Amino acid sequence: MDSKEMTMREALNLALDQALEKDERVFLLGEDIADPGASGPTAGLSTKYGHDRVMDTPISEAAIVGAAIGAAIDGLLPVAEIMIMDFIGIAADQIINNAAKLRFMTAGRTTAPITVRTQVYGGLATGATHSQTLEAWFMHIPGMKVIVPSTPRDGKGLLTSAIFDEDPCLFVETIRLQGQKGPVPTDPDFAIPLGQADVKRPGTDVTLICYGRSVHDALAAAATLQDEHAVSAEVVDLRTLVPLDVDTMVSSVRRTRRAVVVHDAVRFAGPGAEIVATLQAELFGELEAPVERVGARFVPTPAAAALEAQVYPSPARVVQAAQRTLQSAKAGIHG
Amino acid sequence: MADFVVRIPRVSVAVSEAELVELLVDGGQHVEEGAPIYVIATEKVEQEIEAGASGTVQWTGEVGTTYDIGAPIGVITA
Amino acid sequence: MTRSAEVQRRIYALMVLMKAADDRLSKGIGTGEFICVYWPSRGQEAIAAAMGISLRRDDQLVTTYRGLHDLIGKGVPLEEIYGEMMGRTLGASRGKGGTMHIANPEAGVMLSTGIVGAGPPVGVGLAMAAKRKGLDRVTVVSFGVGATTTGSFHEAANMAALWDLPVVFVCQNNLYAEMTPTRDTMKLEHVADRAAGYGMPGVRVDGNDPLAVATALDEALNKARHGDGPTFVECVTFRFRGHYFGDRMRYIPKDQLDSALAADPVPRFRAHLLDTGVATDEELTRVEAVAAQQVETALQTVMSADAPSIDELDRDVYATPIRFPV
Repeated sequence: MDSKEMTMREALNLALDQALEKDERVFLLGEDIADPGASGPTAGLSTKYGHDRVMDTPISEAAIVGAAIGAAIDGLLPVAEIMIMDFIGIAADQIINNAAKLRFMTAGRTTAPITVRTQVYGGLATGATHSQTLEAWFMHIPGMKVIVPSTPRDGKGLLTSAIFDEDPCLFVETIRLQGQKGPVPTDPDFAIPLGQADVKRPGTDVTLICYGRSVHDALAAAATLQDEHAVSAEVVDLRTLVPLDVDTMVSSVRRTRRAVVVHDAVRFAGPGAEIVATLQAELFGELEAPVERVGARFVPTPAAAALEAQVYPSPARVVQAAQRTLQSAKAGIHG
Repeated sequence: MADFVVRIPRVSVAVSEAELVELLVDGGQHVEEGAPIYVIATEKVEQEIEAGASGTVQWTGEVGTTYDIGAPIGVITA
Repeated sequence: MTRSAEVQRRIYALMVLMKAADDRLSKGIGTGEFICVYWPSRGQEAIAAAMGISLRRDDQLVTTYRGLHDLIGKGVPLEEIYGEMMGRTLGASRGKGGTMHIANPEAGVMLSTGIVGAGPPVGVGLAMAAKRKGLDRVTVVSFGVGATTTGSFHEAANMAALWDLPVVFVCQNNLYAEMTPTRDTMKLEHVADRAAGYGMPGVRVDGNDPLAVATALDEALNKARHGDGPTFVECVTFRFRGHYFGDRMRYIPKDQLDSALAADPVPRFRAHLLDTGVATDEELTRVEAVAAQQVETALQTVMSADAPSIDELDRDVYATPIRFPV
């Protein structure tokens, strides 16, 4: 398959471009997504496809998602953008009470296969209302699918799947990843099925379970563990939180018998809680150590860079957590 | 027509049980559809309940007892 | 506009059916005959009947939890409505959605919402789809006065006007937002005055007069159908049974309820049909009997239907079932 080096932003742009190209039902709507104001993954698309397929909207998050739902009920494939994930609260009613539930509440007579793209701004000193990582909110809602890509290749393949998926999808992008480069298949038919985790690095001593930006912390930590501590860490990128690829996750930890879950969302009641509960239910008795979690501290995201740096996971924190799983005896001594 | 089972009605959306407070008609008496035949109390508010059919009523519910909504407390035989 | 005798009789038949359906629920729940939750529409029949004759089958409707009358007007079979309310397999969604969430796309009912104000944005999207597909279909969004104080309504109204979408916003102003009088929820006396703020026409009509409502609707529908954008139609009416069934209505002054009952749209339209010689008393009595029988038949059919099977829990959550630990 032909592949090209590009940034995440370019990869997502290519996915949107190819979806618009191949299917008339696809259209985009959101704030500042059309040219000349667009600067993110939608840049250039309104010029190519026109402003009625790449629609700038008023600042109206509830109506952006609500309108997407209405169009989807009528058979279209809208891709709505919520510019920054912190704004999704304003659209939450439409996502939670309409999009996620319509298929069930109407026994399949109406469905809302929308894609909601949004971006996490964490790590950019934008403060507590422009930084949050909130995917756990939507994992909690039956009917929603939740996708968080970590690489340009995954971004393109997963976004393509999301747009054409029959269920409503929340697609969480991360500003700090938008400029990262990697090889991306250019084939318009390239898609990554939702619900398949990806082993980003094989290993034998401990499994680092992660998704989105934290995959890069985990990979950096795995390199350090190998180089400085002779520990072989396996990195499992979940890629989608719903559906959750329990099989890949469990089979990895069954081999390594140690796990660390890493995410940028706050640790308390974060996605890791569900993952750890699943692991202990499946592997109780086989684990060599309690499963560790590394997540953001449970504080509103501070603006000052010196403070914010303390909040998020880092490769160093992942290394420390992995070492705790290696030091911890089964008797439960927990460093 | 089949017998009409007299049940504790869900008289309001947020009600899950009610107390049978008073029977307005003795067992064995004839009742007319639409006429009040017993009284329930929910959230300390009393309410007369009408007969859902005409016929002879027999009671099985006991005054002073709290029942779940939908619980049978009698039957009206046409 | 003068309506033919045939259309006026159809309006009356719809109103009577809506009233009978509401009355039968009220009686059945009140006597303990069956148990279900519902938000009565008794008193608002004129608006829904006017929609019933003014909307085309392919026109779409987005309504609310207080939708019994709207659903009947748009042609949803009574068995589907009652079946859904009672949680039976005959329901519009086999009992999985309940009273507040009935859809029947074949009849053009695309969404019923349980969340006040959630419908207008979806109506905007349905209208966007019609425009994109080049269809001359109109989406009517029906809601109460409470919806107009939500941000969601404001966002949707602004968008609909901005993009000249084929939407008609029908506000069934029954003078209460749930249990609070309208005057305690907004400074405006006339809800229709909101429309000017969005750059769309707003009209206010007697919501107890089906002919007045139909005239306003026809104009709005025609405008929307021809690409001239949305209209806000305020229909002033009243609900006789409060917000939900069993509502003790302590917040409604007795003289207000009495005068509202005196203006009951059903007997009022009946008297109009007799006065204008459109129908005879005998004909209308027959229409009423037919409606009552239709309601009773639907109810008995539903009551003898099965409750949904447990495996429904695994269906329709996702397009393809996803395995979750139970």
